[in-house]
Amino acid sequence: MSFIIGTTITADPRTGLAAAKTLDGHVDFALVPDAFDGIDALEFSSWLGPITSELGLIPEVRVTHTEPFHVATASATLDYTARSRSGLSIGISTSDADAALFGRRPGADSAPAWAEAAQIIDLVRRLWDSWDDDAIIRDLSTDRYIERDRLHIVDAQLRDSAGTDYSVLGPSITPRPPQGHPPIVVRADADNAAAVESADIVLADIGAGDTADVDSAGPSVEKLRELVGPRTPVLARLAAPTSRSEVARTTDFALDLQSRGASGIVFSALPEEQLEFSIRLVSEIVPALTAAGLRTPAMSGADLRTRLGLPAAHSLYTHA
Amino acid sequence: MPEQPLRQVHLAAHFPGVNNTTVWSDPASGSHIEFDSFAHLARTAEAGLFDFFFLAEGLRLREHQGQIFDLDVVGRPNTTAVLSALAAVTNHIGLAGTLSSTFNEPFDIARKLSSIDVLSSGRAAWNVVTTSNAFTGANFRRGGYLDYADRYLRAEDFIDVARELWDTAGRGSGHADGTTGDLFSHVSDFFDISGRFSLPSLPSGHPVIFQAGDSDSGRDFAAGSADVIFTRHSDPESGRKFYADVKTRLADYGRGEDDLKIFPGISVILGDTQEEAAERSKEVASQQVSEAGAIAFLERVWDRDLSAFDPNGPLPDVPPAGESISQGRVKHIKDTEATIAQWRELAEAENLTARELVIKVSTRHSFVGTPRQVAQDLSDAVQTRSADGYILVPHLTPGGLDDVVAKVVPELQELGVYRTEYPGQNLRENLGLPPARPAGEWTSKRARARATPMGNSTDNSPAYREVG
Repeated sequence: MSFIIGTTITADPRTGLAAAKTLDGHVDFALVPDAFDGIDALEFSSWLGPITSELGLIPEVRVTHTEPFHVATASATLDYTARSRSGLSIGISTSDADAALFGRRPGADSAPAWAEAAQIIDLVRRLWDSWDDDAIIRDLSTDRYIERDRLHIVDAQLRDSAGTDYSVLGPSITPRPPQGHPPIVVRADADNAAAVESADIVLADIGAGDTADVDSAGPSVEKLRELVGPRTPVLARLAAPTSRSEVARTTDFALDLQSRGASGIVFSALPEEQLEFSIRLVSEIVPALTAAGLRTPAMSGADLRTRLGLPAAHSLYTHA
Repeated sequence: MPEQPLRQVHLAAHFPGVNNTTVWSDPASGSHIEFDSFAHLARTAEAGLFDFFFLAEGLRLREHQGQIFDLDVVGRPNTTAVLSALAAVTNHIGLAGTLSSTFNEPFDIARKLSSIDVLSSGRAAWNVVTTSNAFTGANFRRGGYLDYADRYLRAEDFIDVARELWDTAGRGSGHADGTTGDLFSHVSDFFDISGRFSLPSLPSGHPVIFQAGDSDSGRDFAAGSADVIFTRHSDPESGRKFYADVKTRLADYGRGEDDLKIFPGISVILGDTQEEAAERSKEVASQQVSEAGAIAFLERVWDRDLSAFDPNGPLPDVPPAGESISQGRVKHIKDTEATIAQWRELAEAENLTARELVIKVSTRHSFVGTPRQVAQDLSDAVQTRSADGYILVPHLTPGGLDDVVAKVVPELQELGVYRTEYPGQNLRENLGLPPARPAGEWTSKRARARATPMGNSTDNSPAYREVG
């Protein structure tokens, strides 16, 4: 399995686009953070879909104040427009400032917000699966466009971050995305074990540079490996190296991370550094990782699940 | 007397919707979910110098007799996500999407539309619809929370908030916390929100606002808040009445005739001769009403199960029942008894089967003829103020407008009523709309208009159109 490489890019139509084009075909995915400032990460990723051809596109969505139904249909649509290269990074909002933008609930504590996020991960997958892959039949003999027995009521019961119960009925208005389940990414935090366990990909914060061996606030790579089991890739999330010496050490660092159970790295690049870093990533870091035998040449045309080493997604309804 | 310059025809493309007007049984009918279908129609429309591409939305699958309705096209993308993707494969055409003001929050919608506007260099548009029913609410956090009488008020307030946010975009320098944008705060009957809208300034000023209501208060809503009306008044006669009525209302709101554009939705059927086009129209109508589709149509009018009746026999000889058989669609027929009586007379006089009757009453094509004739008819309708432009609703996906663009557009250009290149830098300019006016001006003009004795503000009964 090739060592996975991803990096953050900013939802900016100039530098974000230039970075995405630079990365396309060289790294596995771009992660687009979203903190309710600047351009919406899902819209930005949707825009990048037709412009890129190989790059995985993983927008962040903070689910504490948004509508899960819209998140499910928008992410499914991204998988169509990005031709099976989409993922979804699930985050939460805890600040009063975020809450005030929506005006519906107070700022949330992280524990109940993550508890809801874990429920929403399951709900989003169920909405994706609420259409079987073969639901559209176009049957001329009976005049039916769909086989409604291949659509599923979800009727999920959830509890929001303020403790109020709600439900989402389904089915989705959007057919099942091409990947079935676009990979769901969760960054490990102090109190989000349930969300982490339900993710397809887990990110573990790692200190940068000389402090590489010191794990940050979240659980260590080793602890995460135990928590999520062997099938879920754990990616180390670390600050993008900026100095020549840091770049030179990245291969050794990657070998160390791999020996500790990490399946890859996600670099976190500052907005003002992302374009320069993306060039350095594809021209120096990735070739060095490939030369060290960590990465195999990119699989052209593979969907994002395959690139990330995930098995094909079985529907929660037809293969229950 | 100097000759009046010819009014210019504007065209737009509607992605085929979830009604039976969309023919999926034709071998030429492609996918309604793969991105290529959306890209094909949008690029075709752009090649034809259309103002905008339009996407409808329904937030819950329709039901019929308590089950998901399975006869028409269904399974559609998320509106904003597909418009953002289309921004990447087009350069000039406007990108208009239907979004509910009931099951969204202003900050989220304003931000998504701003994102599309920035990514498309000023081409975003929003068809504002209200959705008050608990049926659709079952898919959302709040359920069916909104009183029927309040949904229009909330929609108006929602648009005001969105415009307030758009006005703050790009303003103010960077703040200590890394954000930009002026502070906003909006406290009203429906919203209590505040913060920063940290987006770049919008290339179009404000995304273009569409409205699709038809009632008296719907027309006032449009006169007071919208830039474009999407209407069902497709035939020239009723179009002229609608146009005159709506445009007359504008003065009260400090607006001129060109400040609100009227776009009826229409269907166009072409042929090399008038006879061939008429024949083609019949064939398409027959495709639009399948046998099962005819019975389902009658069931929605009768509001009862009619599955025992033969679509190729006479109209069902039973009275209507009022069982609310259909969920998730707008009922256009007001007086069921009278309508059925009228149809019985028609069927008897013309010796029509049930299906033939449904074809007759439900599938009228707006413009049928040679490309030259259709171009002339469209121009005549625009010259006589039936409309400012037309939204073409093809019956086939994705190639349903290929012929219109290849054949009718050159004829319109020949007539001198259609542009040969995009005139403006953004959708607002291509539509011929004035620059966006600030949110505060919309609210103050509206308040003044509604304070006058002639205002219609007491009637808030809404008109709406959720899905197309």
